[in-house]
Amino acid sequence: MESIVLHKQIISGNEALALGALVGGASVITGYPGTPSSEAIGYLLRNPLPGVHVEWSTNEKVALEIAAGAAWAGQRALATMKMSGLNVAYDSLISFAYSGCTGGLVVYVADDPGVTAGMAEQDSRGFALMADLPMLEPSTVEEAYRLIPKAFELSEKAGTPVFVRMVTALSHSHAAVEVQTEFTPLRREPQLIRDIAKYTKAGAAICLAQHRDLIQRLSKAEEVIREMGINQLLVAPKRGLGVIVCGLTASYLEEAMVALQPFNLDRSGISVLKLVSTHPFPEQEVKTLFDHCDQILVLEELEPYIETALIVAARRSKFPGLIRGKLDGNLSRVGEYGTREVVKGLAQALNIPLSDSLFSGLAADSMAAPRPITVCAGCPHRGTYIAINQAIRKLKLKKDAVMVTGDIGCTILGMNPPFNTVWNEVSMGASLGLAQGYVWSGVATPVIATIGDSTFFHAGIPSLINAVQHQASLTLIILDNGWTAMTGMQVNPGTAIGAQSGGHRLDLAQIIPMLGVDWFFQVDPYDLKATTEALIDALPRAGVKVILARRECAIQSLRRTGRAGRVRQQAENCNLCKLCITTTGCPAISLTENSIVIDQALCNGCALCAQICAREAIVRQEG
Amino acid sequence: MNKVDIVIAGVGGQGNLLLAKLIAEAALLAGLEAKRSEIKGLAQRGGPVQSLVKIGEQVWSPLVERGQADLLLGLELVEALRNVQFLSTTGHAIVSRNFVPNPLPFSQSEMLARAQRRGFILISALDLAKQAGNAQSTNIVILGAASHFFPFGPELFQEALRKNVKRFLEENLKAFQLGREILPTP
Repeated sequence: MESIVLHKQIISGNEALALGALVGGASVITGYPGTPSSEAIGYLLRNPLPGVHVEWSTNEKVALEIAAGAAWAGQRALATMKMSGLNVAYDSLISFAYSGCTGGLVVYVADDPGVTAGMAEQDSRGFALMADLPMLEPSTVEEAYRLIPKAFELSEKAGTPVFVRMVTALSHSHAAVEVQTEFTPLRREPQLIRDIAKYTKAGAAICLAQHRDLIQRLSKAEEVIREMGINQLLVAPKRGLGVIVCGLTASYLEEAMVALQPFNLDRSGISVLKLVSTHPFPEQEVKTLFDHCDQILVLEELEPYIETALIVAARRSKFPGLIRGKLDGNLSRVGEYGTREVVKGLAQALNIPLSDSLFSGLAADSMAAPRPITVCAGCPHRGTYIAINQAIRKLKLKKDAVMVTGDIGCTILGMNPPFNTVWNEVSMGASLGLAQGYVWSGVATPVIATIGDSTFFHAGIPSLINAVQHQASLTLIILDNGWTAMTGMQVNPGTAIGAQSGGHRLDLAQIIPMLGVDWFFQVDPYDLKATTEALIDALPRAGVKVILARRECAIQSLRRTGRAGRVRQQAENCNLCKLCITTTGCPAISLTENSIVIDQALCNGCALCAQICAREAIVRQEG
Repeated sequence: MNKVDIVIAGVGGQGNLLLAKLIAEAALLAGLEAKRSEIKGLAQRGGPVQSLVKIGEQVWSPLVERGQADLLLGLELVEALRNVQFLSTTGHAIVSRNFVPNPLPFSQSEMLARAQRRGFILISALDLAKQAGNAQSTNIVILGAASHFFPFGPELFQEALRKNVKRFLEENLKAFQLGREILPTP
């Protein structure tokens, strides 16, 4: 018998998922970076295992298709993404759902209730409902680790892709878990199965049959979930309140019960259904609750999916009791959940009068305003935004008359002061489509689209091709820093060759001219004058113009090759006009009572401030 | 009970995450349970960073509710003042005098005055870190000062330091000691 060595390690929810996938024998693992999901692939790339293919794919749809291809060939495969990425992958995902799979296919999606990363606060459980796919939600880091092998087993037993969903509070939390230190990927002999009725959508007969199969697979999954004991029903000794918790809310329930102990909370009258499978709906366990409880409280973050299904089930079972949650207006559909909400829900259901002092804290200091979110000190694209603003001014245009569409990633920070350059933010690649819409709506001033390199590879290319085909007169600025930076410095197709893990590099400077654009410029955004001049040249022209503003991310460049340079202050020249602060907004520059101070530890020596300063009070230090 | 809920506030580059890790490790060495989490939405240099650590016989959720923290460890004044809403009315704030200017027109002296009015325990962490031989060790100075408020002895923090810190280990151990000595044992 093989002995398994266990080692207690502090790991994050994302790392637990990655390790769980290895325990489950996954041999193809793909994903696209996105907070709060990124550290799963990040961990696997830092700790490579022979026989396991791990990659950052170009986008989530590609990632999912690769994982599904591997699962169709019989392997166990995992695709990881944030909720916005699931939107991108969903077109293919729903098709895979209707076809099913042979090898285990797990799709990890991380939702972001409370919005730490600035995207729509969507509840991805809705996708599981629409696709009729099982969805599992761990409640702790340890459970995440143990659940993934079960997710693969469920996927293979029921023949269906399986979602695993986590939320930020779990994926980014760390706990000590006994983990395996050695793994053996299940490397099965790849199968080539030609089955038109399963793997194509050729005609109504096939698609209708697949829909029937899909519904059957989901009910099979419900059976398997019950057999595997994935959900836990704790029936209390006494009749009373039933509580349904989903994923992480289980941990808030435990804390809330402790917090309510001083209020004589009677736990012997509280039955708890701890749901790990939030889809399919656990009909049998819920029936037990109906028989045993007078009222049921549903504790789920974001949308009331379980609550809605419960009300339907209650109607069908003629359950007479009250169902409490969000639909009665008590608990919120908005924002991150916590013990506070659960205490509120329990207190209302059990008529516990709460004292105001419970959970009352101090008010945050009114003078301690949040720090503005801006690009890092030394970010090359500080230069790009300044150049856009200067070019607009030099062309005698008003800033509020020039549309600059924005995109996802660091580049969106151009919307913030002091730049106020970018107008909008939608989804990966949307800047280019939006810009074309403004063009065709008859905007007479130049229309500018801004996008980062990884975002351009991810979803910008089809839209640029569209602009070329239809000759939409616009200027696309690609703010190329060579990395997928905002999510924590992942590689993308354009990342420098030395940083690619054995991969090939695709050079945007070669690709874009091949797409038939009318004008192509390449600039170094640390050179403010040249960048502004390229913009002044490009903006008034007709046709599709692309400016590739290229310079490596300052953080990565600092790590790889050292700082860009140094600046020196000539304080005697400074008249405290503050242009260096108000134009660049560089976090390394601050104002004291009677001088400008440059934090040399933070300064990267990009010298954009020196280029802005009209009095040589800041100069580039040569040599 | 042995329960300590901790919020650590600072800006990027101050060793916030390492501090959280050391506390969690020390708690595990003490035979307690520990959970920690971090809020880092974007990989921005110099941006705000908040870590949460919970230790105790049993720890359920990874989050600390507002008004529930027993300890607020501040690596920077403005961020500490922003996070004071997490501190319980009976909790302690141990905060570095370090000030990373916010583009608001408030000076370090004003922020210090506000921190004092709120009863923060203010530590000249940078001076002590430099005295220990490594200016980067301000987080460890704060850990040393905070070490009085845990249900286990300083030796477990020192062991966690030895396990997790390779560079400037001696300086960091010194920084821990200097931080610890700044406060009397309660």
